Amino acid sequence: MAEPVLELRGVSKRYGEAVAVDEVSLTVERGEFLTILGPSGCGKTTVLRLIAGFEQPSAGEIVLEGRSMAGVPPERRAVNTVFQSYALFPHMNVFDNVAFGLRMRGFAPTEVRRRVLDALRLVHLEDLATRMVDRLSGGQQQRVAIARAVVNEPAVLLLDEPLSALDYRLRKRMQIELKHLQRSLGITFVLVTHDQEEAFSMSDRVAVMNQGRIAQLDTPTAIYETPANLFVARFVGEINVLPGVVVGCVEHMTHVEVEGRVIPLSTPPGCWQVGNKVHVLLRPEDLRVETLRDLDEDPELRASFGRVPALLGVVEETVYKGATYDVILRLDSGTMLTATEFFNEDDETVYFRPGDRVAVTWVQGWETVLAYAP
Amino acid sequence: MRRDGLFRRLVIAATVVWMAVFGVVPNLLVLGASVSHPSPTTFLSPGFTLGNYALLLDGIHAQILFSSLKLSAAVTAICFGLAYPFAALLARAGRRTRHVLLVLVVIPFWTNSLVRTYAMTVLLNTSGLVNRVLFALGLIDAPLTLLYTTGAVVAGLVYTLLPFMILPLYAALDRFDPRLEEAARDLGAGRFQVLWYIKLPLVLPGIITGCMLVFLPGLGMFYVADVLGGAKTMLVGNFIRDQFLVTRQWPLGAAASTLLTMIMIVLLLIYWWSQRRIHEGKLDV
Ligand SMILES: Nc1ncnc2c1ncn2[C@@H]1O[C@H](COP(=O)(O)OP(=O)(O)O)[C@@H](O)[C@H]1O
Ligand SMILES: [Mg+2]
Repeated sequence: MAEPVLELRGVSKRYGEAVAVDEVSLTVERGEFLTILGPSGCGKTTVLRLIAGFEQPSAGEIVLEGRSMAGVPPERRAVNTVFQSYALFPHMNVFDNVAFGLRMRGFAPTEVRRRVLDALRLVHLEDLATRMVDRLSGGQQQRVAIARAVVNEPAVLLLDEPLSALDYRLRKRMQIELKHLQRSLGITFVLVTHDQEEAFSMSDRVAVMNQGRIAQLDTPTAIYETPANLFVARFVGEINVLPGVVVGCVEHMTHVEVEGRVIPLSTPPGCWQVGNKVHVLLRPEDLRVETLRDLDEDPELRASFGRVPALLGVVEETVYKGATYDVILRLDSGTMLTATEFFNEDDETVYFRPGDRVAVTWVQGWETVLAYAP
Repeated sequence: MRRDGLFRRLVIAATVVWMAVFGVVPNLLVLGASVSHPSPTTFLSPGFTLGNYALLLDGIHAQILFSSLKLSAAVTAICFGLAYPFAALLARAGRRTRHVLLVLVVIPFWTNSLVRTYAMTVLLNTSGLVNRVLFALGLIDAPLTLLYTTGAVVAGLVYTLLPFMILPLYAALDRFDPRLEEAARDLGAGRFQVLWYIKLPLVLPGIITGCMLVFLPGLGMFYVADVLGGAKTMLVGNFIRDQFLVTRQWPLGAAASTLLTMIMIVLLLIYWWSQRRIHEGKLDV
């Protein structure tokens, strides 16, 4: 593997007593699209400001293209930032805004002109070069901010919630455009967002942050399907959390008692010991729900229902979601579960009714088991 | 709706009439006087001559004019030097501190500035507070002559005019978004370049307003020079007053007064240009 373009080694940032960033370590490969995802106030912006050089780490080291950035001011770092507020220069037009970085680096006027016009073409703003930036729409200002940064061909482009000020449709479109831009330019992107969908749809890897620490750093699929802890599990999408106890470990099979039923789980050997308390995590769309009536009447259905012993409960309500609907159920133990159901192809009505007795199961192996944490 | 429109028009009309009667007409009278012939008996005799302006830019008069411009420029520079750090502090301070500091800036306006100027003589005379403190500290053996010097006039003008520099500077700095400085650094600008290309152009209208509000009164506040500067004619203001009230050469005084108006117009043009630069970009290269 080639040398990483950016590396954070145990970087912390304290403001007095408060710890904004806590021992964050990560490496970013050249050409990668890495997203830092986390709730507001978890330290995402601070990480970007540390990389950009606006803040100095209280501990740890930032290495950019093999060089330590300790004491290097922002203007001498090969990174550029797309600010959350855009921070366009109001006394300059679009062209001068985009040209600013090149001019500061002393490019010849003809070269500046060529590169700026190229960058503007890239973001479809070539017709607005002479427009003052305060006469642009939010989406156009966003594009100027992106052009102003990418025109400098930085080693790493930092983007702080770049799309959060845009409306839903524009945001969707810009997500795709940003991704294409990143691919075609081959620039390394480090993007910050609190929007899980945004993170998943654009990134090669996602770092989920919580209270200044990285809770998990992995591909979007891995983060969604095998969350490393409860925080990640709950932050990315909806999830059902069932408490359980390990009751048996035989070879590759672990048996866990959940909701009064003993359920076999295929976890790596040696992970658990009898008596361990665990959480069993299940995504709503991984659950399979059938009414007891149907199971009684249809032996075929019963046979296909799976090997995992079913949990029994009652439908409380259903929530229409457009393409899907959620079934909220109360298990006999009192625990609430949410299951997502797709509409039947030839039946656009919600199948389940409140009060239906149902059995719930899932494909063995689709669950995630974590050590119990209160 | 209609009554609103009528009220609006009445207010605007009243303002226009007021400005015409008390602004435009007097200025036109002064302009007319400045090109009239001097007359020892009737103050002026009608006609057209540029002789008064020629006289103004000649010999002793030119010297007065020039030294007054120099003095006012010095006052403006000192005010700027004092006001800028204070205004920057004010713009960055929290809400509470900011209110307190702003009130402190405005408090002197509650006392008539002539009274405050007289009060300064108490501080500056040979047995005044400044001399006594310096003496007590052992820094001087004999009292310094502070009063009736150019220094005293400069001090008096700075004292009186400082708020007029602070307030527009504060307004401009408060409007300035510090994130723009970070954006510029991020794009490779050093501290000096940030100041020159980003901050200065954006706060320039405030700087020019402040300089205008200090420089012009700095030429005209004759009573400060009278009270703190003694009998010397130091400011264009003193000169104008003398032409009208002492030597009775109205045309010459009117010419000097018109000159001040022209200086103001030039400053306004500079201000307008600096504003325009902000709001109308140009595609260079
Ligand atoms: N300059 C600062 N001084 C003090 N505390 C700060 C400063 N900047 C950020 N913080 C604190 O650090 C934490 C993380 O902030 P930030 O990085 O902006 O979070 P995010 O971008 O994830 O919303 C917050 O609790 C915030 O209050
Ligand atoms: Mg933030």
